[in-house]
Amino acid sequence: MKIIKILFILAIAGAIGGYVYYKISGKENDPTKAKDSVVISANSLFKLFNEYEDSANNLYLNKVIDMRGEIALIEKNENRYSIFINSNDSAGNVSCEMDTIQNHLLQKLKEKDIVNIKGYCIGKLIDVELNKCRLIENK
Amino acid sequence: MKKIILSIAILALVLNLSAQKYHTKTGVIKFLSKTKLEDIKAENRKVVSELNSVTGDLQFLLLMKGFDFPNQLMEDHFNETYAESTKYPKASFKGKLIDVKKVDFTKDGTYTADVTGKLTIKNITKDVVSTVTFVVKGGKVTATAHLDIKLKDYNIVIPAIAEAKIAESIGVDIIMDYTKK
Repeated sequence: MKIIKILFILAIAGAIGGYVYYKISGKENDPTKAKDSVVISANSLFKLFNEYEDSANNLYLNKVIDMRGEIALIEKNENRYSIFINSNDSAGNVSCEMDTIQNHLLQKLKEKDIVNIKGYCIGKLIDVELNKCRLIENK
Repeated sequence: MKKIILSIAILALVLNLSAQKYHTKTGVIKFLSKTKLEDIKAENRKVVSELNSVTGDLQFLLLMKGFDFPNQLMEDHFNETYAESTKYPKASFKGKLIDVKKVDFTKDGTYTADVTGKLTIKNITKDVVSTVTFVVKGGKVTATAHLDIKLKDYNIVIPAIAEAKIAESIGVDIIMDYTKK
């Protein structure tokens, strides 16, 4: 009876340990599951970062950006796609580094397509950069 | 007539200068912290860099939040505790190839050149020296270099509890696939 109790406790502890390990080690940073997001156009986001970078950093850094726009450029480096959303500003666009989990969908995209993308804003270099991006389908 | 010749000469000079610039928006910087207890790796694939093949000027700029870690907890610790990425969102390097003439950017081949410059992380700037290997192939230039960075130099303080898991000096690999601007 004592052995059964010990085994039961070990099983519970194992399950909790497994869950904690999954939560810690697994990539769970999916922007589509975030409670809050900021809906903004590529033009507005780029303009704000280009003209008021410090304020834009305060407002948007780490936030999930929900964006609908036209694809200006698609790049693929090794296994990873970057989709550049047209900001209609010659100085730069919004660059979305896509999660590889959606590569099967991304390979069908082409320039000028209109897409909905959610991703985390990490700041501006030449373009405004979003990472861990996911394509939102059927919006 | 003189004005026309002068205009053509200026235009030729501008075109020539711009033809000497190589550029990438998708440079890669990887780092590795190696200890007996744990290896910590991260990769940033959106590094912006520019290289002038005549003057040897070389610079890159990256967002600290662009580092991708194998797990989210490591990434959160890096951004919140060590790099303080919200307060110091960018890191940069500005330098010069000492012996740029050793590299023939017009001819396929593998070349090396020393680079010296200033690396800025968390608003702290330090002089760094490294050797860059250039592979020129079909008009494209790939540059690779390695740096060892002491965390203490950039005010990256490791709490006592994590000391055994994070190396005092981390290895940084830089890989830039340039195209002509």
